[in-house]
Amino acid sequence: MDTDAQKYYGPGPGMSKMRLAHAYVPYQRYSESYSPAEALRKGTLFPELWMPYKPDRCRGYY
Amino acid sequence: MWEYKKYLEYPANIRRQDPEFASLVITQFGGPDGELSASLRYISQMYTMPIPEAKATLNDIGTEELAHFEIVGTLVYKLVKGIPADVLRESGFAPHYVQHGRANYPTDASGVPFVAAYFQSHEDPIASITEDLAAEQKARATYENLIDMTNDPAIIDTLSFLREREVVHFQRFGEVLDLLYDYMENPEHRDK
Amino acid sequence: MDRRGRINVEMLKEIMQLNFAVLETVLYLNTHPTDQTVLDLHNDLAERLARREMEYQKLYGPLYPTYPEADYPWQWIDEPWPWEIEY
Repeated sequence: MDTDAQKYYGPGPGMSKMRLAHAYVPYQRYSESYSPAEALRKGTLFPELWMPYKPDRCRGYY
Repeated sequence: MWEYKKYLEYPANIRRQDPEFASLVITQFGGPDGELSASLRYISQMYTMPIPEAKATLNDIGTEELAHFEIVGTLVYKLVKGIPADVLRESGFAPHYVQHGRANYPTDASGVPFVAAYFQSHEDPIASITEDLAAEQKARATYENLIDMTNDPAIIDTLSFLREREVVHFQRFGEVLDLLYDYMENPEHRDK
Repeated sequence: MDRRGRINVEMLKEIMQLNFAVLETVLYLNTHPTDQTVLDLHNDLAERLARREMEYQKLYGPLYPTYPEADYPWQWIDEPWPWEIEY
């Protein structure tokens, strides 16, 4: 995550009291969007959610 | 209710026909982590959700999954359209051809027909939404394995779109889960 | 009777782009119903989508069976259907 990550996510309402044995995903905060053409090409309107598969690196998002 | 739009969500093309790949990608049509399974899971689960955000998210993602069912169906259709039987005979599509011809039929990559036992729908919303997070990851991983199985840039293009949708859906279900925790912790916030 | 209708693939792709952008704002707003910025973006994109779809339907026939200005003969059935198009 880059340093200005807080720009596009923050805690959700359910995270005001975080508990063990609960799964949490950071809550998205809108920052900017792709054009409709680029959004369709990439599969998302939101740059912070674009996490393409790189087969030559390793699996998943990483 | 639903109304059909006479266009695909994503313009699905192929570069060359490939019955072998059709017999693999069909798992996203009718396999355990496929689009039909995803759609029916979400539009079954939505009825008893306790908060409106969860109902809307399941309804709208379930609807989008049906559009993905159409995209994968388009890939399978184009990959085998008009290919003569003696060519299909030499491919992994032969068993499908024997039972269905070139018609789309929801099976996994081994030919096992679709069953509702692929998914659960539970009144406990945490149980259902947590299943949905897992479902998105399993579908993402399956798309990555499918991408590893082809060199056709047009197919990879469409599979990459579908894979990215799993990432976005995971985010939305994660947010719904958070809203559910808040609701269960502070139900009075929602009393009208 | 030949039921092969005229289509415009480039215009269809533009509609697909707008449709997709609107779908994304819808999913976002479902979990962020008080985000005014994205609500404004949504209304702008949705308006452009509706306008483009109307223009397309006037020129190339219905995208929805409920299109209210259907011409004779009934063109909803016209090929190509979405899975038959080369994009």
